[in-house]
Amino acid sequence: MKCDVSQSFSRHYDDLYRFAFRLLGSRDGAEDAVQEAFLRLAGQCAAACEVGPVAARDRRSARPGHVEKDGVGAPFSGGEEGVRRWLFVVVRNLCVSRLRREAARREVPLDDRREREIGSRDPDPVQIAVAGERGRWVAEAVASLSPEMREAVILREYEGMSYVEIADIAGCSVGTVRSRLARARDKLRELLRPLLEEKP
Amino acid sequence: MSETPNLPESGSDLWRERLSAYVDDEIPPEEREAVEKAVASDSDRAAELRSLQDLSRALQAWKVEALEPPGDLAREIEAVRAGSGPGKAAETSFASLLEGGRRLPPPLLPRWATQAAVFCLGVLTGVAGIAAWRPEPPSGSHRRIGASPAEGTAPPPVVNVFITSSQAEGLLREVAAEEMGKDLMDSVRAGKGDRAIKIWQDLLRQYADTRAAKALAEDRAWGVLLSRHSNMGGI
Repeated sequence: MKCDVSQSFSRHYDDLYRFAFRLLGSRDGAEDAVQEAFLRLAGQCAAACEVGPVAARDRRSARPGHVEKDGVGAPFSGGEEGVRRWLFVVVRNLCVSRLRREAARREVPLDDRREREIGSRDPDPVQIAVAGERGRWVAEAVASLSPEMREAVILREYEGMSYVEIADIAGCSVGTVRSRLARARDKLRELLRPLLEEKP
Repeated sequence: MSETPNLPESGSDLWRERLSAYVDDEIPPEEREAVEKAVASDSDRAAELRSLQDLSRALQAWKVEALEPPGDLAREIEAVRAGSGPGKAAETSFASLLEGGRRLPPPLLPRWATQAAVFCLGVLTGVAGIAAWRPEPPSGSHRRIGASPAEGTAPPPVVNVFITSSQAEGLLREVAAEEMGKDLMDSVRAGKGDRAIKIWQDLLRQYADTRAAKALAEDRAWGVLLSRHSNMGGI
């Protein structure tokens, strides 16, 4: 496969941005993560052609199995799907690192705080009925999950990925994905009860 | 309500896990069949399934509109990618990164902090001027032991130099960029290629317009060193 960063950029930018945004809840953070991922991709492609520092950078950042240096061709196995998966892994790792840094800076863990805020809110069916409000409610509920559960939910519910794909990106087993999703859904059902009980 | 054989108890974690996988179509056919039978014969299990399906629909209310990708990102990617062409030196892509219309780096400090820095700079200049002042003995005579400085020449006048906040910010940026440059060269010398590249990325991201960044972009030495390091498998 020929390494075509521009093609990957136009094909995957939107999905990666949405994934990063949902994970981080921050537009700037999402843009930074996706930008960094594409620059690393360009570096990986350039590294395959044996050049200097910029090209060779971050060669180690890719997970084993995703990158194979096969001379002139792209350093990715699995064609465009392989590139897409690799990009998701990089964006995911960047986002998780950022979340951990942010969480470490807070006295009260982010997850606990958000959960309390959502739990203490007085549910107002009229407000919830507003589409934008429903979206915000859902966003806050998802944000209250732990990063691991959150990414599983986002990749499954919004990116439509299979358990195998999610496990690949999250770097865990399929069984772990299954368990995380079940626990995340339990929690979400609890948090979104007013929304779920509302008649359409 | 009857329990289906070989199926986890309704309401148990194991059952929820299986039901969740069922909704995602991620269970083997024999398990799927068992779940369907159980749901058909047990109203609690059926309600749980409906609740999961409702949740899936409710989650779709969260829409995220993708933004237009930043134009300069495409240029940066192209610049990095262009460095892969045979015969092109790595520093060519460094130069294009610098000239490729990068997004303006965020200000190093907020405006109030810059103004505070200018004020402190002024105070420090004054203090340093006073500390450095030494009275010169009058010409043609020796200074008496114990004579106070006031008996010598008058202290030189303190000259206040005013600089604008943007000049101060530029100065601080240059200093920061130079520090990063030193750090980068230390990493290169220590054979820490990954670290050097990370510093270089940060330098470009934050201080691409500084003299230190431009000087590094033109300096082939560290690029060559890193290339060697890379060829040895160090990066």
